[in-house]
Amino acid sequence: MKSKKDIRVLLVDDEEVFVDTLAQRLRMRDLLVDVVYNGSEALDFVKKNNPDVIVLDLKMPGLYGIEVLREIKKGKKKDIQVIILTGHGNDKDEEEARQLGGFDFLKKPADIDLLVAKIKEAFAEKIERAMLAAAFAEEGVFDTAQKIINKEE
Amino acid sequence: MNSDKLYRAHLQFIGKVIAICTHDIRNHLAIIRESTGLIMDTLEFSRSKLQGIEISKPLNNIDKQALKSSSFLALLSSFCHRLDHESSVFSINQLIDELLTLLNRNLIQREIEVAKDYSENIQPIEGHPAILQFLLFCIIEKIENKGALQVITTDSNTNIQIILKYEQGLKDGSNDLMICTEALIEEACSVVSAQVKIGPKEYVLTLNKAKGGKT
Repeated sequence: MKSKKDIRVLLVDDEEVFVDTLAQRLRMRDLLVDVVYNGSEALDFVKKNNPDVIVLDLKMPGLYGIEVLREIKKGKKKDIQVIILTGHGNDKDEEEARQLGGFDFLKKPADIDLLVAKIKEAFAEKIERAMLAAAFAEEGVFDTAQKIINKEE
Repeated sequence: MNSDKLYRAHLQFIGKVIAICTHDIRNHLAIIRESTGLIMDTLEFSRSKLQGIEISKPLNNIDKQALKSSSFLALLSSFCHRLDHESSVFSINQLIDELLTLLNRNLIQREIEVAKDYSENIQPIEGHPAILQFLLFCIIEKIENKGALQVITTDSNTNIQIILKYEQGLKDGSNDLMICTEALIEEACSVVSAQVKIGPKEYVLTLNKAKGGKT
């Protein structure tokens, strides 16, 4: 199991002062934090790197957070966990984010301890899924199950 | 205003502008909160306790105030977004709480002390929350200043009741400063499928679940 220091977090927000300050606070709490300031940069970052958890704003100039979430969840790195952290969010946004596979939805300004707890929860769930997938692959269970499903279809 | 349509469009415009502003202000508050948090973290992590005691107090106040403002703006934002759709599913208790919090400053100025007694098991209903808030505002506006106001909600199979009990009298209907007329209250009641009964020192607002929407 990775230690907290090994959890790689990407913060995505166009409010530079906010996101830089938040990054410092998260680093003080032993998280590995990178920062980008818009949705396109976030997608570029994800192509080249493997963050465990992304903390994503919704309303940004250019690419909206929802679009970033949609792109990530339909791509090769869909196992990355995404937490929405926004000052905008209404119930509809929250519902859409959850339907697209967002892990959680927080409103700004969020409590730092709550955010760290959510990041850890999201990371733990990601690891659990990866371990399950690895175990299935090793035992060939997944292949067998898939064959059964295909036959039934 | 020349027509209902224009009046309505103007209201929607106001709602939109305020919603945008509240989003912006929440971002400012988030920055304030993270900044004070960072200073507090720095003090805590460097263990400068003596300095920490002196600086932490005002910083805590700033933090608390920013959080309070943020919660208030979240309510204001949700209040404005109610104008996005005419009809929606909402919780009666939350709706009343939202209105009372937004009117809090005004109620303090009017020396009206509010007590709440909500039935906890009221299921969300579908209806016209913005008009219901307007209706409640009209009733509260009619109540004289200086005194207690008790807000009670009850739930039965067919109806939800909102009871406003007050110990003071009602304002003179000819007061020019009041937004709401009797005709407006009547119109609002018909929109939200509600009946208003004026008892001794109380307003009883009965919402018909079947007419107002499904739970």
